[in-house]
Amino acid sequence: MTGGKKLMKIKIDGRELECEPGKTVFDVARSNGIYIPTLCYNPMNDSKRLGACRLCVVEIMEGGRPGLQSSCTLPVSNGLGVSTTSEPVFQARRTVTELLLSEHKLDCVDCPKSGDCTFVRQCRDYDLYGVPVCAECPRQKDGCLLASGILCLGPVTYAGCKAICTRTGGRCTGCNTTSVNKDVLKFGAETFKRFGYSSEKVLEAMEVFSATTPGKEGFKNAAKEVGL
Amino acid sequence: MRKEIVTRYIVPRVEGHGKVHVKIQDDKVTDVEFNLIEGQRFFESVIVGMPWDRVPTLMQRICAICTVPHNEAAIRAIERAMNVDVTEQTELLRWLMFHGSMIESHALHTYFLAAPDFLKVPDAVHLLKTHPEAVQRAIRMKKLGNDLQALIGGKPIHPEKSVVGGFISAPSPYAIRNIRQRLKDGIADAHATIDLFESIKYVDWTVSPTTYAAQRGPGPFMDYWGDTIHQGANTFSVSSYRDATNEKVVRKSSAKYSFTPEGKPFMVGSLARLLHNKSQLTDGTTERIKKSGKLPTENILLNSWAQAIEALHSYERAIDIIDELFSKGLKDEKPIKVVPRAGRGIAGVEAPRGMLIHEYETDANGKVTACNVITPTAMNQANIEKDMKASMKHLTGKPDREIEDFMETIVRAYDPCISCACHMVEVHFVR
Amino acid sequence: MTSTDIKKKYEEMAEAGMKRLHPDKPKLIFGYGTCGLAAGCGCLVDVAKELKGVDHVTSHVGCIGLCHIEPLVDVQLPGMPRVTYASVDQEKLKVIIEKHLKGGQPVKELAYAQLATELSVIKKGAINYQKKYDGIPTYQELPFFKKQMRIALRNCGIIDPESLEEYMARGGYRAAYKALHGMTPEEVIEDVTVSNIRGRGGAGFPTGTKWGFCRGSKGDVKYLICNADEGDPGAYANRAVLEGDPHSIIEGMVIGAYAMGATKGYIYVRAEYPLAVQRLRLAIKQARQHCILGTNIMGTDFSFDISIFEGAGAFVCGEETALIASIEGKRGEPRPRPPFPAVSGVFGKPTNINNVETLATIPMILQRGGYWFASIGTERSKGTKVFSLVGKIKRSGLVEVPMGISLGVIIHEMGGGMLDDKGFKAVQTGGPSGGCIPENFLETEIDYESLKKLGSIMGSGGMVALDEDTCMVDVAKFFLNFTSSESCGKCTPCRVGGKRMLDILDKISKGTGKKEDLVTLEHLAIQVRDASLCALGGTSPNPVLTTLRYFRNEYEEHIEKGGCKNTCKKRGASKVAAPSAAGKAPKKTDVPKKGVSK
Repeated sequence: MTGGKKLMKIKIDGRELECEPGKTVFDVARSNGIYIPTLCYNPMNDSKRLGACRLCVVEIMEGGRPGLQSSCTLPVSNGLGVSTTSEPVFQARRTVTELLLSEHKLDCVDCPKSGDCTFVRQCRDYDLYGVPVCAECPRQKDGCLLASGILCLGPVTYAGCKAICTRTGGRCTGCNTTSVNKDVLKFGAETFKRFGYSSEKVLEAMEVFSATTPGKEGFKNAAKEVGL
Repeated sequence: MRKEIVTRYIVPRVEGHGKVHVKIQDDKVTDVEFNLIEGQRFFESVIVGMPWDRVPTLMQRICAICTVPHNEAAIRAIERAMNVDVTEQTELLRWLMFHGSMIESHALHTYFLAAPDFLKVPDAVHLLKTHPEAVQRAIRMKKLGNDLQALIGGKPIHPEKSVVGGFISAPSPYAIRNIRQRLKDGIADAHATIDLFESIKYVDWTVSPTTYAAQRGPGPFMDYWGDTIHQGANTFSVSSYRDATNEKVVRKSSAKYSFTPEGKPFMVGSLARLLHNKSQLTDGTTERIKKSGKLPTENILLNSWAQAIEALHSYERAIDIIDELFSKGLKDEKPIKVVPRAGRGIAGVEAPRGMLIHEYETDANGKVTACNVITPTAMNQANIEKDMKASMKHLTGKPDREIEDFMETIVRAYDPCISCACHMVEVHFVR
Repeated sequence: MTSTDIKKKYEEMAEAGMKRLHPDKPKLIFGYGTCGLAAGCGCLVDVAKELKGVDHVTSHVGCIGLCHIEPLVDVQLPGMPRVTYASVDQEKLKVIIEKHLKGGQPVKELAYAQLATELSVIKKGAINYQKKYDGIPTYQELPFFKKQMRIALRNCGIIDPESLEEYMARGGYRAAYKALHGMTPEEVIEDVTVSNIRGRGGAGFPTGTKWGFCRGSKGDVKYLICNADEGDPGAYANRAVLEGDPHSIIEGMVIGAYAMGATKGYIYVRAEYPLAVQRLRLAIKQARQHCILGTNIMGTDFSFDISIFEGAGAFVCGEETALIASIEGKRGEPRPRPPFPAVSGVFGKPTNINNVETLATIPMILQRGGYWFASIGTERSKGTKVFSLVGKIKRSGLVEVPMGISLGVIIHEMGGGMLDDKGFKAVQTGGPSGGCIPENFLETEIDYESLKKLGSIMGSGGMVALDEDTCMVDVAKFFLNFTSSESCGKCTPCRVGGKRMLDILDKISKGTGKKEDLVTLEHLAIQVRDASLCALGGTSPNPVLTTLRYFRNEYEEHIEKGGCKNTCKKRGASKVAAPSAAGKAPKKTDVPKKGVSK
């Protein structure tokens, strides 16, 4: 099966796994059902691994220089032992996601990936709340409910529900509460402005699930800033 | 020797929290009390001040099993307040969704909540061992009900697609065609359910004079709504429902008690509907009732059987509605535009557990100024106690455990939805 | 030419070199490094050119390290030690020429020091004058030089870097000859390993071990690269060697190439060092002409040649894998390691990259032996290190000291203490990748480990002295600004994390920061440090982390009071003045009309 190549033994999360030399830890993990997230890996260009996003980092526990290494570029070697679940790994992945979120231009209403966005899934996995429901909603541009006169509260509501209501034809009633994240609220205010809704109408609609929340106050400020 | 037993603090296998109090002197049961102890939920107070188009969003969250009845009752009440007429297609879709919720709710109650009582197993998990095909069937029926609700309303729980004025978008005709096939195949399941509940020998310990109350629509078939309330021999219009319910706050319960104008308790639910609307049932349903010979009856324990009958009715009705939709052609309609205004609207539907009434008052901007919701389980409280008291003499000398079990069986027979019931006690507040 | 012929030729050249170093005519010596030029020695040279009436020679030497008192002009009369005059301007020069060069008597009021005995560790060709002038201190008496031990800087400021003969006169290329003719490559590696010299570029990896890896890699083509990209602001130790003693690097590279079996060499030098580039090119040309580079080096069958590769201004290209990418013609982006360059480097071939200072030290190690080198320094850090002492210090310049000397000695004894006698606050070591060390650690013996323990790094030897008026938040911001703008942009933690940390620092320094910001800043700094792909990102949070560790009160002051009484309030803006290489701004009269003459 291996054509004469001697198999190597490495440990991932304490599990001993056999693998061919020349593979990376990422390959071995994925083919053994161990999930490692990634963003800069392009399966169509498999041989060119950048190690740039730092999301796939694993912690070297034995058999190498201690510290975090990107698993997509880390070649297997006998005696190598890594962890995909240690605290430093979690913190690093969370920080990377948070940093990318801080640079992210929220244009989910126009974005073709909204509704099926890997990045949003990543944010959800790490409890990061810098995206609105729109990021998970498959309706975009002219398909957006706001374009057909229905006040959907997606642009200012915390994502995390997979946009189940808009995905199945309904509208977002804001039941996941209004976000307090400034970028999300700004995006929301701008989106409502773009489709011609007044801030009074939006605030009215928020009464049901966010009447006394800080998100509502935050939205008032964002609306003022944007001129809604 | 005097002693008191209180059932398990929370009656199991019901929706919500209720408590039964049994007083025993020597070997005789001398008194029984039933309390709903769910906390107040204040829906009717919270909704005041909210805009008209958000009413269904909030009010449907009174319950997750009967979310569709609350959604529809709220919507129809608001539409009456705003003087909005919806299209025929909307009406058809609404009642189709309603039948889905009926199938789902009845499948849940008959198999998982009530059947263990009659099949002498502790709970539905044990049912898997003793009646595995029954459990499979139950899951199949419930899934069909859920899928039908999801198809029309978007989600099986809290249908966000159903709004004041109609539906945000029409469902896909292909999906409707598929579900029609499943309904057709599922009629056998409905019959099997009826068979199951007919095979049980019911004791008649609770039999006592009962007044039944149900809404009736114009027909020709019962679609679980109506403009008239039939209570015993009396008739009321839905808009004068207060004459029929006469609600009173009772200290021991979180929900208000309802009485007939004569001060008697009354029962709402499947049995009530079958008795009052027997002329509006589908042919297949009427056949089964005739064959069974069970009606008329004053034995509450037959309520589960009645639900099985209604499930069959819903299966057949749903197919008819689908055929009607297709014959008229499914159109891509948007909700009717509503102009908010001051008004008052009352709407009633027949939720799986019985009559449900929503009433709203709005101001010129369309904001809610007053709200009243009466749920079936609240209405049934007095009747539950009546039936319990009637059974007391049959329980003399019986062991505590048996008394407990039987009292709970009575409660469960009503299919109470206690969370719905405890929605308000009188509240004064200052804005 | 046979090796015997070559040896004879070299000895002749060495003798010629000695005559050049100690001619029997008066010699006028100018400190002609970039620091000297910046201070204005260019027009002094022009003045000297007009000189008439005395038969003399002129020599342009490199930077001896006394950068704070450039321009330096020395007069060496036959048989007498050279006398150094400091901070020379045109008036002073005229006096010096009249009195000393022509008149034969040193101008004691203007004289700074005399070089009577050898300043460095070399034996062959060492300076040793029997006669001395009275009333002029010797170099060894100066606090700046007293505790120095010059190995890498052995020739800087002494020889004319454009003269191969002078280099050979002081023992140059003897080590290379010894290695090529008398040692096997393994023996060379053994000697270097025994010396325990660690990479002087900052990482501190044992050089002998590194050479061993490369030797062990299979391949017929191997590369040896000298990293002369010296990007740290405030560090210019490499520059002094590149400008003042380029042959020491070539010799180090020849020895290294022989040891590891390299066939091709590069000197990756930053284009911002034009004088260094010029000197290196000339040195390489000379080396080729004299069988030191090319085929059959020194009459053996070892062949090796060096090309110059000019960097284009990216700080990140000082990182070895980014440097490799740059040489390959790609954008200078680092790569994850493994695979390490010793296995797969330039164009996939085994590659070894060494710092300028490391390579300049190698010939000395081979000359005097690895054990000799290992006898200097601390237990885990052997030998000497060049530090560029800059900032608010009285005597800024270059010093080479044995490992284990304390920070306090460098700052207070050698450096003379703080400028204007202000109070000492901290010393920043290791450039933008390093950290700030406060007063209570001045007794620390400098070595790789001790600095790391304090949260800083040795780095390339930058040492910035900060006085009591410095705002430490501002310092952190300055360095973070540098590293984040030099980020190549490949990996998220450095590219984005650097920006976010800078945003927070900006907020804090402007007085709008909150308590939570400190928590966020620290957490983010740790994450950037641990998750970055290369050392640029990995060390960029060090200034932040050390200032938070030792000067947290200043951050808190900014948060609670909206600013500090130091730099921030006074300037309003955010830049600490970049440490100037000369330690002193050029006077208007001294600004050279031309740039580099010759």
